[in-house]
Amino acid sequence: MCYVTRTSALEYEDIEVGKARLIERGEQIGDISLKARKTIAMLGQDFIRDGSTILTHGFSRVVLSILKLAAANKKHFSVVCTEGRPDSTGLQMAKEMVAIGVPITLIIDSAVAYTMESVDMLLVGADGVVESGGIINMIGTYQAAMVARSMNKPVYVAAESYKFARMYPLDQKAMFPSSRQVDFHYPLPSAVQVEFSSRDYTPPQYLTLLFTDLGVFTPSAVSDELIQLYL
Amino acid sequence: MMKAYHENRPSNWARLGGAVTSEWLAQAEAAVAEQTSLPSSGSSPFFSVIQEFNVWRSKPDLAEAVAAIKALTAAIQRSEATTMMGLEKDLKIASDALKAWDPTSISLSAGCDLFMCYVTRTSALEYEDIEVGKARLIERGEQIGDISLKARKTIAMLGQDFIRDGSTILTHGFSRVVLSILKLAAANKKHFSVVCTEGRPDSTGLQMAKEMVAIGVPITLIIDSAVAYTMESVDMLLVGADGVVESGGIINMIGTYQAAMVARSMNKPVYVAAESYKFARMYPLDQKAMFPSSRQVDFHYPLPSAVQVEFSSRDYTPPQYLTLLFTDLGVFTPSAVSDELIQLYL
Repeated sequence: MCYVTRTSALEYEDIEVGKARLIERGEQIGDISLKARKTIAMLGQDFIRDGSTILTHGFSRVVLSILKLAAANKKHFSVVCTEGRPDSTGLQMAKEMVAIGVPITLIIDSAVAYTMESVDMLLVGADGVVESGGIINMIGTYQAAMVARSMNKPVYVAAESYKFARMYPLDQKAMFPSSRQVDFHYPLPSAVQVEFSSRDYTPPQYLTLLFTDLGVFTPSAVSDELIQLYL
Repeated sequence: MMKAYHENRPSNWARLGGAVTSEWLAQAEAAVAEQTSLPSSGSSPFFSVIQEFNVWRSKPDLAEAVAAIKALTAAIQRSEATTMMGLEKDLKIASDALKAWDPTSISLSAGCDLFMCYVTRTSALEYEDIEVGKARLIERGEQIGDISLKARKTIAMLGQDFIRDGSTILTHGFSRVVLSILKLAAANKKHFSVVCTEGRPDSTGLQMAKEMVAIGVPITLIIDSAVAYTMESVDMLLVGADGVVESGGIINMIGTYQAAMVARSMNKPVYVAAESYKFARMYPLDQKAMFPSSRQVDFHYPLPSAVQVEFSSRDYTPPQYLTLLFTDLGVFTPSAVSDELIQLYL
């Protein structure tokens, strides 16, 4: 939308020409996104060393592309992924890892702190990157990042630049609600309330680096980049 | 005694449910052969110890350690030894058998150790008549059993003081001690609400939810991933413990470690409710230091065979993440635990 507003500030005599130009530009942005994942994969796989163990939470195609490129570059690493209730993201990730031949261990969400001692980094994707430099991602990312930081493990986020959003959440409830029904495989009494938010906000102090198609940033550099994008 | 666990570990890993294996039977038979005074009925003392233990354990309110103590008391009654040393030996065999039956249960081994400690201390005194000695031990065994039953009431009284009107309590796992604290607070007309985690893979959250509905406390169920998300809106984390270790840390259901870490990061107090017989002489240095306790996880989905699954069911929470421990000996900071342990086991 920003681009549209910017473009239409220039004068087009013919509306058709203007539309064509915008459509062309829209397709360009689509290509940029595909290339974005490749760029991020190249930048991110540098951080994966032989013998490292990577903990991941949620299912992100960007993270997957980093891991696939690292495996293609013959790096020897293993992955630990959380079960990812209620979406069972861990199972998807496990199947992908088996397909590319990377050793994969599945853990329940409660076991993040238990296994954190034996992993080298936490690598997650993001649904959105906010102005503070924090990220919005699948619920559970916040506590995984907190645990990783407590144990001095780096937290890496892989996100394309179009995910940068003009939001500044001050707490968890500040985001618009996004609900997902949770199947507890068990009939619950009706008086029981269920918290079914499907996303949480991870503040920037728990993140180490963000891999984006514009480069590798610290969280504090994100707001500078955002200003450039949106100006 | 710890050495015995390590020796038995390979065979115990293969057992995930306490079934009797051939190694256990061989061990039991070897111990039988040692004994000279074998009752002609053919039932060996430790076989009946396990049965006795199971009888006591089946009562829903009885803690495992108390059941163990009662079973050992029964073993004393059935013992045919004619000297205090012989009695001690019988008891040791029974205690080892109980521990071997379920090596993953810390409260069971702590209960056995505590009772054995007391017996060893008592038998140092000279009893002229073995019957008097036995009677004294049985009486003491029953006393310890009663103390343990009362322990939960004491802890409930101490713990419910920390629950104020309007507070929200986050809990993880299903602990009858925590339940007794919450029930007493509710009975004292305090207005509070509880948030409990789902507790994969045991679904402890559902049990807790049903109990809270029964006593009329507002309960919210969250998935395990949502602990950090909800931590801002709760006032404290309250958990039970399978065992309290020498460092002042606790061993509890997996997920307790990260919940405590998150709570500490956000400056919320972490309270642990544990009876004193759960104090164990262990000092884990990291998560893998504990003997493995596995629980199969049902992912409701067929997994490729190449996928490994981490299925430990317990983790160790170091003392720096805990605020206070509510025990029947009083309310302690984690650092005071080792002092208490020394007094208990001296």
